[in-house]
Amino acid sequence: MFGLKRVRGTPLSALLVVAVVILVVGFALSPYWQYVGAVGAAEAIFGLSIGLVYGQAGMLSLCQPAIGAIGAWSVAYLTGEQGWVPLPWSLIIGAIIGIPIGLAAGMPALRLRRVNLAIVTLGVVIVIYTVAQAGQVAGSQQSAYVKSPTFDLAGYMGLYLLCWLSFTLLAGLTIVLRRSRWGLSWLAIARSERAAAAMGISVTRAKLTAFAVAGFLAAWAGGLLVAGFGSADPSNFDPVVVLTLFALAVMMGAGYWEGALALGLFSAISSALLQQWGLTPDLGTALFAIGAITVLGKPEAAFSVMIRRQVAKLSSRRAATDEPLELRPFSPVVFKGATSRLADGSDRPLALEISNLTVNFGAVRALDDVSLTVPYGEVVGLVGPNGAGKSTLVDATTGFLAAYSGVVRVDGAQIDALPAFKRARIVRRTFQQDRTIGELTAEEYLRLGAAPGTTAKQIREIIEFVGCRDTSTPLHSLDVRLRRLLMIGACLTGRPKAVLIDEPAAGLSAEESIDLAARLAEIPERFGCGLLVIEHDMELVRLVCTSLVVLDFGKVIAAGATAEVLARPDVTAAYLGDDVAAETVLEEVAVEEYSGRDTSADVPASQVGEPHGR
Amino acid sequence: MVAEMLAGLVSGGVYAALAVCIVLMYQMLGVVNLALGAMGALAACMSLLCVRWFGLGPGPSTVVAVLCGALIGVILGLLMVRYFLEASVELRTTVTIAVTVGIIAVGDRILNGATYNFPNLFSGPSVEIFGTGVPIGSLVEVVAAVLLAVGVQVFLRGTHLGAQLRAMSERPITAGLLGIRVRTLTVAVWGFASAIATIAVMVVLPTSTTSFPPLAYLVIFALGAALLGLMRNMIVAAVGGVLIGMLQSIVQPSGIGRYTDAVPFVVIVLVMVWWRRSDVWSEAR
Amino acid sequence: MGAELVIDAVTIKRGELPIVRDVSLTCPEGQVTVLLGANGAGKTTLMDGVAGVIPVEHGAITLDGHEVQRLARDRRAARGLAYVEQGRTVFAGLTVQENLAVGSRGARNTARAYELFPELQARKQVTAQMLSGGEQQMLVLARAIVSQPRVLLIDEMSQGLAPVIVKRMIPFVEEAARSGIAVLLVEQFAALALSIGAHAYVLSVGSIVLEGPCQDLLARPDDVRHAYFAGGHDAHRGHDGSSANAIPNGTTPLAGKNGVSS
Repeated sequence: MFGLKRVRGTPLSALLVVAVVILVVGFALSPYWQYVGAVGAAEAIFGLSIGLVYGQAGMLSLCQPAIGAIGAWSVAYLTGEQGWVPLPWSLIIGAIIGIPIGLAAGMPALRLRRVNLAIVTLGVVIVIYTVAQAGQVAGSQQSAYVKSPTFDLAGYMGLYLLCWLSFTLLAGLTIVLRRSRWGLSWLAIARSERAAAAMGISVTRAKLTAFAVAGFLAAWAGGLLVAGFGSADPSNFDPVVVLTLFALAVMMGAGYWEGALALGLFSAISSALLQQWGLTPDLGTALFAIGAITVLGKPEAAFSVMIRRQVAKLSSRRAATDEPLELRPFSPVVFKGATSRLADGSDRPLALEISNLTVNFGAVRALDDVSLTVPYGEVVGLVGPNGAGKSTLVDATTGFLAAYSGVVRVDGAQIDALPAFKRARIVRRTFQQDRTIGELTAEEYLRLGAAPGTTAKQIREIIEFVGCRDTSTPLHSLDVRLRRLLMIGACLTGRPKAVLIDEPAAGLSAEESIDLAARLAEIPERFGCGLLVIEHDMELVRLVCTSLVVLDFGKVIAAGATAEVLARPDVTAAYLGDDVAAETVLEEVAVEEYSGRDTSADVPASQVGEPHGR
Repeated sequence: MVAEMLAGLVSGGVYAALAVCIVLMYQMLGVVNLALGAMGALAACMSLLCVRWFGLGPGPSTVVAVLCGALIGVILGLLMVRYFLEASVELRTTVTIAVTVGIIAVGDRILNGATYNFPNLFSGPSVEIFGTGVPIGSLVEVVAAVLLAVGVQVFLRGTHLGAQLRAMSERPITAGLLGIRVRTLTVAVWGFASAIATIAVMVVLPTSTTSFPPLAYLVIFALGAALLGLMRNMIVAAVGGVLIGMLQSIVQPSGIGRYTDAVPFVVIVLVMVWWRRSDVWSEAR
Repeated sequence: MGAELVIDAVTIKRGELPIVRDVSLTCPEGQVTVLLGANGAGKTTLMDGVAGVIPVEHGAITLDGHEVQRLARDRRAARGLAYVEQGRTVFAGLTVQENLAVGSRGARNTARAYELFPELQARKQVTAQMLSGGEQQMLVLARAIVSQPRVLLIDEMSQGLAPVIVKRMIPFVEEAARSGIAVLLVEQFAALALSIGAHAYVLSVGSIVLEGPCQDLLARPDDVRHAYFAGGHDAHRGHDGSSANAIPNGTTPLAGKNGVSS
């Protein structure tokens, strides 16, 4: 979230210890403080809800607590004076009702992102509040009264128990979910939706599951507040309260359970203390606002993050970066040449076949009738000057372009109709920028995009293959070169037929590129796929690629065996701009210029009216 | 119906002025300033303090309020420039959400739930239109809001400083490389928008409640109007604001009157969904 | 009027990777200094660091004797540094005249721009978005020159343009140098740049691998080509540039690797 580097999580046992302590302490508190504590627990559950959608899944949705209102009303309605459903059960029913509400609230998030989502969800908050104030929702009238549970205990202990047991249960749920495929996919979409889809994660499903679970949590919390306050007064869900909870969630780092716990305790205790001291509760609110702004500017200052850093220091784990990394020298690899026939004698399909790919961005033709093939067992290089269209080609092939003409076949099957995350089952790509998920370990990261049925042993082997020794340190502590290699590893766990690797050697030193070359060269044979490598580093290309395709101004100007292509004068001209060669090659372009067409192959920048490159 | 429409001009003018500022800040500075209403309201409260503590008249206390508004804007602008200069639109907007929370807390303190007489600059003679008495002040206000939109556009298109702002909004890095003082201009726009918001809120104060939060929520209505202009066109935003004000006022006495606060939300959702209907990957990271 | 630009042992990172490693070069005033290299070599990163677009990790950048690497970019511009970024960064919504005048010091000298590029005079009130690629490049060059810089950085002005158009801009660069400005010209197309420069450096994988007077380098095209493509790998390859070619037959696969169990 906003570039936050995270520290490894505290286990479930810590939660249980904390829970036992809180429950025991409850017996020693006065009824006033038991009540405060109970409210705090409910707010902590709101924290879990906000933390899940915002802290983990990275979606700026402000309406979580307002969904809690709906849970509150359900509970009030069910439990109310009629007493149909006794309290613990009405809570669960209310929480379940929260699921479809949460899904509905999540719908805007499928198409809207970032600021737009914040604006719409702010509107949702206001609508819910308005409707509640108008008194039209059953159970929202102030007259509905819910008796809080006592369980035959003194003071507010019954309520206290109910609330804190709820928190423990739900926090435990979030801890378990976080390590599950769902939780990993939430972290993935927070980091980069593109990268997530490129790993085969359905972004839609990830978002909806996040909202569904968050709705469940928020509605449960809302129900608890009703139990505590006795009625479902809409003023508990007014926009200021909702925004204050959000600010607190940011300040405390509610994406982690400790942050949510801190949110609840801070909120409840500070209100109570301020009240006791005769000070205005606004003071607390103002402080939370300042805290939130500080954390937004400096994500490491979030409360839960600081706690985790301390814990990690105390347990004094050895950092992975202490160990020096060995670099492999390059030994030439025998490319046996993939068998071109299948067992039954028919022709083996190509790993990747692009035919007549044309991409237009408005009036600019970024790719013009490009065709290339990547056979199994081979490494094909894709080279060309900046702006030649290489990234566009990868985007089109892997499903990140809205429209293109031409056909893309992987393993003989046409994939043009498939969305990006489905294409990721058979063709994978890396990105030029680091799109790994810093919080995850190498093992978790590779597991995220792995094909079904991949064993832990296979994952470890792949991690070792790309040159990483440490499987259980979070990625943000690892060298950036290793992260890049792991990005390639994450592609391989998907057992794709074709892998497109985008500028893997950028910024690497000579020795590091040779090490990379050694590993890349082994991939096709070992993993039974075809490899397409985009590179500018000609040395790497010479070492690794069996054939080359050269793009310039969106067109293929040369294709064939590496050595031959690199010796061609028009290729060196494309790079070096040899005057004579350039004139010959670009004659066509010059003619176009005289006839008034723009020869620029630049992809146009964002439209006017969308400032700041948005 | 006409009477209600004309009665809606007062709030319509306020929404229009705030909407123009929202669009201006989004275009020039890359932030959706959700704190705008709160900023204006806080400064407006300064005028009321002036009346209470120093016994200033309505005129001087208004001037003080506007200066306070500009100051609040400058302070927040400095904060943004210092810590969030190269941050994303989302991050900056989230900061304004936190700022709103903080300002509401402070503003609540100042108002403290009691009733005050705000200096009312718009009480005065009325004019007969379609058989209803419309205070001249409201007409002046609406006209002023539209003139604001036009004036800002003229400034941006016609002056050197305006060209610098437009350049900055398109390519802030390139603008800096040409010697344009990006940070100073950013702070100046914050101050200007905040001062306008102060005036806008002071206009509506005499007719509104005495609790702070609704003043801060005015910005949501302005946001709806700004979205009608697709966050780009100030004149459409201004006209939209007036229309939303009138619509609100028409709807008020009827059966769904209690839901008027939901009106801008409906606008917001419709515009958002239509505007972004074909986006799949273009906005995704 | 000009000033000498000295880049001293500069290291620049993008993210955590060092893209420019310990590079030193000098651009004397009144001359065109050429910086060559293939894509990904780090040329633009170096220019961005000099101009203040990204921070410099180590090293010093000196303009006329004063260190500027810690100054904000508008301050560096005030000291006479002008940067023509790659990609023709015109302000699309502003007219040609507005583009020229928008800089802090530009308003006074727009006449100069029209002298240098008469084509722009005819398009004075046209929004920059509507210009052709060549016209846009002329516009950004003119925009830089009207601010009366002492040091002028130009990044790949030939990108995406036909040679005939690029040839149109050569006199501009030569004239700028003649008037005393220190010009640092980054190009991917060697022949073009070497024909107008005085001294040249070749960058590869973030380090300078070759330097010399432009006339010399023009006479040694194979060395230049080699520097582009081999660059930092030289140390590992021995003298024979052609040995890193084909995949020899009959050699053993990489030792020590077990197959993946499946």
